[in-house]
Amino acid sequence: MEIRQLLLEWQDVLQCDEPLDAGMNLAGIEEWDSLSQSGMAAFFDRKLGIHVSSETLARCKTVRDLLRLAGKA
Amino acid sequence: MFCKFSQVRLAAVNACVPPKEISIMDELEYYDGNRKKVERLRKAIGLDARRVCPEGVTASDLCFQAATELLDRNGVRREEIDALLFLSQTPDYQMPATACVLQHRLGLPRECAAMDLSQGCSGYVYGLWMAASLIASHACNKVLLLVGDAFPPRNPANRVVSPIFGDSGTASLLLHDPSATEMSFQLGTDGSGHELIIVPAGRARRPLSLERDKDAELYADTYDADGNPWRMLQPYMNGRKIFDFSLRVVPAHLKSFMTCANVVPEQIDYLFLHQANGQIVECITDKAGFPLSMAWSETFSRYGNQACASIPVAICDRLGGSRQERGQMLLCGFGVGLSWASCLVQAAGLCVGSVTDYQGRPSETYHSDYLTHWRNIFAAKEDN
Repeated sequence: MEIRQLLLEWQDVLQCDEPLDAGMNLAGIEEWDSLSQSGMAAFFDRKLGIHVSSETLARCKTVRDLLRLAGKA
Repeated sequence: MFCKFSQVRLAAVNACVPPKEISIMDELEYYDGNRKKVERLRKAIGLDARRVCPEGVTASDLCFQAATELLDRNGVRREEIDALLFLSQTPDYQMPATACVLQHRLGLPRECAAMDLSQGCSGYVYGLWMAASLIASHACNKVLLLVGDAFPPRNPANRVVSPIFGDSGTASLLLHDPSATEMSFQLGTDGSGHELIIVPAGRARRPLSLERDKDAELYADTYDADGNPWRMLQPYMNGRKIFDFSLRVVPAHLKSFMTCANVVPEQIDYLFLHQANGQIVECITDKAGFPLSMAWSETFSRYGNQACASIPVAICDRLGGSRQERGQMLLCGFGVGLSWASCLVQAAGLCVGSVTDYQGRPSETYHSDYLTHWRNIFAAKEDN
């Protein structure tokens, strides 16, 4: 999956209005919480075939960290 | 472990819920009035409403109504019941077994065996397994399995457990039937995760003291990083790790079970997963190789996560008021323990009741009446 498509999908998972970019701090995103982290873990698992725990996701600081986990950065 | 039982049929299922409904929209204050946050919850996990018991109504009361309706509707005579199993994490008493109380209330014969079982979200399948084994071993011809939970009031400020769990009671009848298709089961346990969903105190590991002052710490709240209060006498759940467990273990278990049972997803007519939440149900359905159209989680949205009773309530919610002519049902429970269990049940001949509202009305003076009742018993003179 292309990075641009990935960011669009993640925006939908987080249910946030603002588009994501790689440099964004996750702590600055209002919707970045345990609910969205579970949603991300499910996305990684089902759409990317990558098992990442929601705890690992919770430790990510930036969107770039998420991209790295997805093997895209 | 995998096993099969012959000549055992699941004949009827019934469910009862308390009439009081709490919607997540009624609790906006606990989300700082943030409607958007609540809508996110609804969309992400399907969280909407749950049913809660009033003071004085317990899981056994709900199971009693479910059982009465089941027996009367299906023309089953009380004296035909050989065993009563009551499966719950919220029995009426530490002792005696609530099953004994229910034997009396239901007017079952004294020859009827009655016992409690304790299991969480995998409980319904564990209960079916126990009941089926009693019948397959010729110990019993008819077993009444009552499964339900009604948790004590929780602090609504805890947004992890309080909005999720709902109360219910169910009744299932299993019987010996030489023409019945085999029932298959696979069960598993990982006790290393026992602290992930737990009530830490109030039983033998940390009982209540004889002196009230020593228990003050059990009533004190400890707050997590998200501001949720937790208390030793109330359920604790590590949501993240339970979610990870659900995705890591359960789909693989389902695939293994289907291989052992020699079935493929295309042969399954109904998939009933424990109604943990909509997101988990969808993920497991997908990962286990089923189409998403088979992911049923409306019961969670309507009634909450009903722990051990979520699967039979889901069956009644979806198929209620029907007698099934055919079909294979795959039931899968997972959670507390950690434990998981699946079974393959033939739906042919299964009478499914609708989810009914509890009709009982507890007294407004229930608390004081209960105390007075026991003080009178304690103070009564012993007959020598």
